Amino acid sequence: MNWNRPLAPNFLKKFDHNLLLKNPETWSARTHWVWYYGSLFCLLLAGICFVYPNDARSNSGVIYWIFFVSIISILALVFWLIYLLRFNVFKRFGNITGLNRLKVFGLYFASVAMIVFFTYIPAIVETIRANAKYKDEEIVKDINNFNKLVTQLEYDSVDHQWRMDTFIVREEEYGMSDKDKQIIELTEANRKGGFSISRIDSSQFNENIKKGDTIIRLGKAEYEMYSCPNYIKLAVLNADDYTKLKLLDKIGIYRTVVKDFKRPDPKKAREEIDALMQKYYYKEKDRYSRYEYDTYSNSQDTTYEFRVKKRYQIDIVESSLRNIVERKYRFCGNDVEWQFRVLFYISLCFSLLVFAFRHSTTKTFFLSLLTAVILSILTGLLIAFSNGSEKASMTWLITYTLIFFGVSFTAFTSKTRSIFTGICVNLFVLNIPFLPITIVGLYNKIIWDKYYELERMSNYVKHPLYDKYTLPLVYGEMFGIVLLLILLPTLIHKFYRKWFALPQE
Amino acid sequence: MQNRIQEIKSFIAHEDYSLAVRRMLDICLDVDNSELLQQAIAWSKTYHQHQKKNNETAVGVDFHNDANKLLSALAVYGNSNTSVPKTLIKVNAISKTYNKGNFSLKPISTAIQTTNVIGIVGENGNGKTTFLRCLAGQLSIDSGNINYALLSNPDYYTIKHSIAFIPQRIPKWYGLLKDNLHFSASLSGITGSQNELMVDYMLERLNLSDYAHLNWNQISSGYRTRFEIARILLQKPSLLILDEPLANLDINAQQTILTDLRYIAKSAYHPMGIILSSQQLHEVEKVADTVLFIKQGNCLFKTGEETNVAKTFAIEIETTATREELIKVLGENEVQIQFNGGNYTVTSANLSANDIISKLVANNISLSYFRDITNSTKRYF
Repeated sequence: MNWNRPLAPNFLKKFDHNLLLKNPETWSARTHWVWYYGSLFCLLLAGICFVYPNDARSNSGVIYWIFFVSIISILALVFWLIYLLRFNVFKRFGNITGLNRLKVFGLYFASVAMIVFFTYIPAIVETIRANAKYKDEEIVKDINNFNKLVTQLEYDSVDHQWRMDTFIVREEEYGMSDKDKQIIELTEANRKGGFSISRIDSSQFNENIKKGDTIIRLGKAEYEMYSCPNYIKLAVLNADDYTKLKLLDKIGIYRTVVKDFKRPDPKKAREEIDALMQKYYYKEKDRYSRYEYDTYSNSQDTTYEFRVKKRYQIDIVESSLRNIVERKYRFCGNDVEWQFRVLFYISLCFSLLVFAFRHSTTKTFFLSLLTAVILSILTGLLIAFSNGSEKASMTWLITYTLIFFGVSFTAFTSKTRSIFTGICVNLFVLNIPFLPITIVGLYNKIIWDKYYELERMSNYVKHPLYDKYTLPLVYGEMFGIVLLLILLPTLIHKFYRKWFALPQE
Repeated sequence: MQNRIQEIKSFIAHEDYSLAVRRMLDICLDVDNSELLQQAIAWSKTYHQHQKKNNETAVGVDFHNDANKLLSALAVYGNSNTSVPKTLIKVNAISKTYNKGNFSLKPISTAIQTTNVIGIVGENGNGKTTFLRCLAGQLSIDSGNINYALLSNPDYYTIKHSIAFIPQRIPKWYGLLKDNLHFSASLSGITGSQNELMVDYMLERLNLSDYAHLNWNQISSGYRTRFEIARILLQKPSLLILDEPLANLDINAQQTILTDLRYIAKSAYHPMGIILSSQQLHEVEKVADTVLFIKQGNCLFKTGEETNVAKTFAIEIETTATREELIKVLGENEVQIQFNGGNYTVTSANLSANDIISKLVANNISLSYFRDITNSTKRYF
């Protein structure tokens, strides 16, 4: 085996040599090796994670895996940097175009992204394993069955009385009009016995309509809302977020089980629920995670609710189901967007740092970092002492970026290479992807503050500006990236090209 | 072309094979024929392998046959590839004073053409490196100007792209030496098979093939200089500036490098100007078209200037004879003799170097070393 490049196939070696002869900038980024060895490592890691005993019902230990793999990722980054730093296409005064610079940045990003991606492997494998073992609909079906069976078996013990609330929908948002008073008086006169009447506004009314199981209209603005007893013993949030079959709510249980109650064969029902309990019963190995189990064993609680929980091991089953659901839907919906952002921004920030380092002298680069830290501290202090808000910090960030941008232009006119210009170019490059999102954030904040001010002044009347508040931050994020991609091969290319070539004092 | 072919034949006939191989490679590059160049590289490799095996100068019949084949193929080429010198840069009274320290480089003017080799000599700390770095665009100048004649409105990137500077302390290379050469070549636009060919050529030309698979820490400082020269030459600069390139080389390597640099400067394939600084006065004077002597920031001497024509003859000798014996032989009123602890410097207004040597030999004065320094910068040290 060739220990210089172990496991490297011949085609890749030839490809590497061809890159060296034809595309030095691509070759020097070593992205092809990062992706090759990265893929091998991912396969190995995935294999280990598949073989490693990991019950989908148990508490996920993926955080420990992530910590462990993060260390490997850091080592991989260091290893990549050692190879990357051997050859610098930007300091040889060769034939480097703006597009070459963009390409190299893209390659840095791809390399870092691959290395950061290692940390996602254990979680992905967990998700695949959980999905392979438990189907989406199966989980929902089992939860529904469990709740129905418990309701059937506990039918005689459950209080089936519906809870009732009476309320009127007031006309004015604040205070009480004469008309409201009349309605309340009328309602109280028509009802027997003492009971409280809640006064709510129209938005609360809409909320109640959603929550209430049954609502009866008594008069023009008076309602009675009935709430069904809680038949849900096993509640697992988000289990039906991505399934056609939905979890039964308490009304669903009422309609399917209680409304036309037929007493089940207790033996058969008990067998079914035992089967479900067995299916989802998982005793955690460590004491901390066995909390539910230990609670059942040791608790002196004799309430009905506790006895039901203990009888059907509800907390343990619920915990198992929650673990399964967490594993299954870890990469769905908003979660995947968030996970992508972590990967994207870590890769972006690291790529920008490497890019700036490759373009400037070592001294200038580290002074740039130091400047960033010092500016952050000073600005923080300034904002703190002047009772500034997040608006002030965003304004400062935008101001700094514009100053860095302005000073960077001195690279075109200066006769000597100034460290100050180099620092400004570096900080401009590091800031530019975040400039649009900062501007959007500041705009949103200004509108938000204005809205509150106008609302207060106009006696809490909703102001039309409210609807303009949420200019999506995601536009700012996307525009930041686009701006970076436009400026890299154009202005930033020229800044670095001019600045680094200047003679020293 | 015929002269060059005859030159190679002469080298082979007198068993100067190393020189013949280098000249053959140069000619094959000059005629810009890849096939011939490949054959010349193969021929050179054969020679070097043979040399390594036998450690002697005798070569086989195949070597001669291959040489004849190559020379026959070259014979069809005319003299169209001879290069015409073009002005590269004109330096007009540039000066430099450092912010820290009290050293100043006083105004210096010169001009450099393609095919020119310019030597900068002087003692340590007198401004040679400062002058070279100013020319290379590494240091800003305080006054004067540098006109880069071949470049129109150049920025410093373009200047640094066409002017290569090799410092005395060469920055460390990382990775395989050969990869570094390929990398530099491809970064300069020499790509694909041409890249392979040019790197092979450069390795053979500077006799570095045996070391190409090593890394920086595995070669001596002399070879580092040679590899750096190879790398820079692959970038095809218009002007090559070398700061003390001979410092780390043995006496044979010094001679080889200087000869090579002279040939490279006059290459028809890519003629360039070369400026080098060195303490090795005599070696530099042998190859340089112009020599500048810098002392305490001033350019005291420049060959070719009428004001610098020597008014007295001067000779440097090493002998066991005493000063008194020398004066007795040469005549007290004819010469002045200075002794620096090792050598005598004899100056005379009337006696030429030949006359002085003749008199000494005629009087049985034993000489272990002598050199005519009448027109050498050595007089100014």
